[in-house]
Amino acid sequence: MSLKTREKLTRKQKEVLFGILLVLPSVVVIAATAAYPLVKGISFSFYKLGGFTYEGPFVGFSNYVRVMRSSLFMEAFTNNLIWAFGTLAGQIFIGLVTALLLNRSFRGRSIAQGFVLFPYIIPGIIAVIVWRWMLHDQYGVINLVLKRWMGFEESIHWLATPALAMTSLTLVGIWKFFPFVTICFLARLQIIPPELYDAAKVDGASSWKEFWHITLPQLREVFFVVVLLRGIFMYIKFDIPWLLTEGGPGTSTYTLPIMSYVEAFRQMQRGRSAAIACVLFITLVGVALVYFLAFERRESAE
Amino acid sequence: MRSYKLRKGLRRGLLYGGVIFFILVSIFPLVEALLSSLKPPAELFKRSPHMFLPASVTLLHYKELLGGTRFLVYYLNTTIVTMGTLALVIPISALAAYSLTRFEFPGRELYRRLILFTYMLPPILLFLPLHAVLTRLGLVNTRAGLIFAYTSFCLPFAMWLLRAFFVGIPISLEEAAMVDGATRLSAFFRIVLPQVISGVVAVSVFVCVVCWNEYLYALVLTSSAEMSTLPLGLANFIRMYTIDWGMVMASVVLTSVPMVILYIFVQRHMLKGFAGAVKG
Repeated sequence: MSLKTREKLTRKQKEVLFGILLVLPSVVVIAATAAYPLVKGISFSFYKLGGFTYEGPFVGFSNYVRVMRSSLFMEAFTNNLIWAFGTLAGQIFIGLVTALLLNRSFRGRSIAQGFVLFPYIIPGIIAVIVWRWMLHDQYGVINLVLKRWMGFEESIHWLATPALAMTSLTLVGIWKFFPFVTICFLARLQIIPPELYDAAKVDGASSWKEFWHITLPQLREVFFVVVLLRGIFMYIKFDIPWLLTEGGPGTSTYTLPIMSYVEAFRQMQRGRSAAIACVLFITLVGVALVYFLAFERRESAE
Repeated sequence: MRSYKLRKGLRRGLLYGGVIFFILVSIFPLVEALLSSLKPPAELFKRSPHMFLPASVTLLHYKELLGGTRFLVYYLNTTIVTMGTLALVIPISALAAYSLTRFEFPGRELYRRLILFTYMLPPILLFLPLHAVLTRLGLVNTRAGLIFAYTSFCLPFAMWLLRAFFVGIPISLEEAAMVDGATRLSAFFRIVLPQVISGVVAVSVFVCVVCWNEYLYALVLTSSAEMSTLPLGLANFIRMYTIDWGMVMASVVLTSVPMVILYIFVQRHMLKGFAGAVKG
């Protein structure tokens, strides 16, 4: 009896060891490529790192103070929020509309799905290039259509006018990322049990009521996750704003990720760059946490 | 009855109208790039005789791109870095995802959460320390350095997605095989892997897409044209004082082609993968 238990135990232990053995390579690689750099990055923000090296004196929070006192930081922070909320609202709305459309049955649906998802799979730089070409002052198709067919007399300088640059940038961001939202909503829509709608049909509910009382509640959880994910991704986005406008004209599209990059590789103030990245991260985690808790509370209240 | 039919027809019309509108919104910029890349320069800038369609087709821009720039070098670098990351990430993440769904060990749940956390880490937080680490290792401005950096976000990403696929495979199958005398490892390769192969393919495609498209790390971690990747090379094309738009459009087309092909190839897995990722 006791021999048998021991055998079983060792077998169980073997299983545990085997399980650990299988995750071990991933632990090592994540530690080297992400965990260690993360710790390093946070510690950089407390050092004065000028020039090309990563060595310098410890300066406590002075990088943070220095950075957050600058007027550029507040501008970048405001722009960051405008960019993140603008693109988030736009892509959620368009993502929802397209998902609802593509969830209907019609001929050629899967081809349509394929086409709608295109912008998401192309590189950010490609999105930027094609939009810079279409928004071009002289040769861009948008200005030409406005002038030739819509009676506009002057070209609109979409990216060179401070008041317009953020709008143009936001529209490009929405175009690039709405398909992610479409796929997520669509995946959820396709597993709503049809019985729910059958019951509503018997009761003679209008399609608007169906949408409001059946479809929307079913999308709740995925909606929560998608808003969280997309919000985070947009808030930290570097490539599209940088490549489209480089923060300009002036500082009209200057965001925190751009500021962090410029501090590190143009101004050679790497401690400050790390401090900006940390502020970005802390605010992100803070907002995500509040959002998460608010959702949890509402869920448990119901 | 008639008004019912009319309403139904109207709704059908609205549906198709909406779908066509969004298809156009999605693909028009890319179609415009393709058409522009085929137009002779005069037509390209005058936009006549037609606004959109080329009146005559030329491959001039493609010749210029392939013959007059380092485009093929960028292409090669991007391919090597993408494949290298894939080769590193997929085996490691498959084993880990398998373990995470099959074995109970202390710290498993914590590790699962850490993976999600790592996946959500902003690259903007890591580009500087990665540059520092790779500088010390002497790997700045090398393809190996880029593979190292790309692994930082591809590995947790792949593990997270693969876990969702492994969860769906019933454990009883392996147990049956093991009762028949198969070892754990052979049960993994013979029973489990064939069932998650579509998941592995889908995840591989996601990894390819993010590596192919990556810009920030490539910008920070490479310094010479010889090591540039496609996004970097293309970004430099549009930073010149006079932009050769025809050639740039040709580069847009050739850079997009592999991703579009890959994507068409795995499109049916895509929904599943996303659903799993969001659910998990």
